Amino acid sequence: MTVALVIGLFTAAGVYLILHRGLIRVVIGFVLLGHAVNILLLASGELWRRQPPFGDVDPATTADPLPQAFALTAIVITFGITIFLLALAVVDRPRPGRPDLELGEAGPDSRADPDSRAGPDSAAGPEPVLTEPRSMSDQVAEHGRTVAGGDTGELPR
Amino acid sequence: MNTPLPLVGPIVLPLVVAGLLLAVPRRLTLHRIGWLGTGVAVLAQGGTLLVATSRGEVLTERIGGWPAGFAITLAADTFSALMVTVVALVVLLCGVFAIGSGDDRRPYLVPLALMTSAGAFGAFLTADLFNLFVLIEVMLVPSYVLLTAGAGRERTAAGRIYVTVNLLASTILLAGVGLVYAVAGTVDLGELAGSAGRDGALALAGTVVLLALAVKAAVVPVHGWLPRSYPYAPPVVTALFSGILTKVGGYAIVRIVAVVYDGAVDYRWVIGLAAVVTMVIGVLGALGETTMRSVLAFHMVSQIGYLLIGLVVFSPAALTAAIFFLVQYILVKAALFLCAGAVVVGYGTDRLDRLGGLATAHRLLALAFIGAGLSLAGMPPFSGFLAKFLLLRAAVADGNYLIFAVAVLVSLGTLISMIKIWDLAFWGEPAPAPADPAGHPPARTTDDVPPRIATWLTGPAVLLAALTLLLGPAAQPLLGLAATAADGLINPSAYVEAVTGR
Repeated sequence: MTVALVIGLFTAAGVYLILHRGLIRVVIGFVLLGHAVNILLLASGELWRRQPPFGDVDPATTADPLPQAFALTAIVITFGITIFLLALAVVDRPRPGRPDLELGEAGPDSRADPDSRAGPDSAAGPEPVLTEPRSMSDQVAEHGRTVAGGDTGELPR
Repeated sequence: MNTPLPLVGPIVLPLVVAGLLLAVPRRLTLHRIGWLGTGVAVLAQGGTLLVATSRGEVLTERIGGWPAGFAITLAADTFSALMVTVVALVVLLCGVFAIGSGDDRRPYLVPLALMTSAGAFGAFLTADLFNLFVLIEVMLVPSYVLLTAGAGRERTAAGRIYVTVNLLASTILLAGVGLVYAVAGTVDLGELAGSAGRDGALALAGTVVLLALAVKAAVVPVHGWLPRSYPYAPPVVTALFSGILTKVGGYAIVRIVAVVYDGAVDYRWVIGLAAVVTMVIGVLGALGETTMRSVLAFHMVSQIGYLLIGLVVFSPAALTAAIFFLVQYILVKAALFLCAGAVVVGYGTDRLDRLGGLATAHRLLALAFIGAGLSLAGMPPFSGFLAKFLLLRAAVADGNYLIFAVAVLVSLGTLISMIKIWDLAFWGEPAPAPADPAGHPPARTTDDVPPRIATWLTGPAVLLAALTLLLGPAAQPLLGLAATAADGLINPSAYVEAVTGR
């Protein structure tokens, strides 16, 4: 009963947060949802079975290892995706002078994407390979610099 | 049964190659060799699997040699082998396209593409619901990065929708798997076979899984993420996604409904309703779009409805037609997205109002597009005609006249939107560079020389279009394989015996 209530509470809070606009809230919502599902997975292995599977014990009372393995796998996946979403939130954060962009205002036009024109001519040209104007890691790093250097424009030492 | 090659091959090989390529991020030649080599190797293994399962055999492999029930079981029947083969072909040809478009210069694109494909191959081969979840995640996580990495605010906004919706669907899928385990005590497809008919609680738990898979397959009303994200990806990524992602969802729905639900006799009207609504909404959305890739993205929604017809009728003829449809549709859709991608690479846009006269400037590309487009709409003599004809014949034989009528009308709508693309982008005068108030450079140069589109770019699309033309008149080998696969779905006892080891 307690478990069911906790799962319900986490799910409700998670869904509530996911429906928000800010990506950070969405991330927290997914963390909560992930916990709800992990508890659900553990509960699927019948929580009253708690004996450790060591020594001479009845297998019917030992804890079921499979749901624990499920939950462990799910935790790892959720963790990785949470990090990715946080990075996305940093890159995509609203900044002064850069309004929150809605899809469909500009259409899928590659004007905002100069590198997709690097087509047939680039295959022949002596262009250095693997140069991306602004990869996500660059932007994250840049974010770190602006935070560290403030608005003075100084580079962090 | 012993397998000619290890079944883990299509999963492990791309992952290992991707890992090695991550260690040498700036060696472009190695990346190209890695992608194409892996593509050829998996395609070859898909071929051997097809040969080995062509008479309905089911190959299994228990990882680590654990007994059935404990081991992670991989199983390949004709359906799985067909999917692995055709997706491997698409992955290989996307690799060729990426060389032409310069997309393979994007950091980490090649390793990520390989990881995505590894997850898809794994999802086709696994016989376990939890591993299905894990492998779908293996497929999706690199795809998040593929879609969002790089410049462009639209792309990041599209990536947000794509990531959050898919993450929510994955969470629901995991919850569904947990519920299935709570009810049945197993997540092995072999053990679960037919149990939904015996146990209402399990049927309900399985519905949660199916709902999550419906999101991944973009079935209406949970389709909204797809047309809002796919057109914003880099050209080669859109083509790759079109061949892989939603098809895994479709495959898993077919597999679970067939094996666990025995065709879900009592709930066919639900699937039928979803099929009809999916077809109609998808094609109506496509009619209203203004870029090549967003039209095609809406057609991905619409065509999933046709696949579901096979489940509604659930007769050998209908499932044969649905599997044949799925295989040829993956090829056709990849061809269309590769055509659109080539236009994007050459012209910098795929907006229909900025294009024109492509048919005279790029004859081969135009031929490939019109061939694949007519096949998508279901015109003879292309493979799409045969697939839709067989599907509709099976629907009529079952008395589903509503689905028959809707499917014919939707095909007409598909044809109209293909003609729209053809009319605006391929015929007519080359569009003049529009006066742009924002001061951006015009989308195409104003001189009369159209940009060159390299053979690397058109080649894969032409090859796929030729294949769909070939699969029309010479459909018998593929139809035979599809019939075997359908037989294995209608009567999954061989699959169940192989997976459970009993």
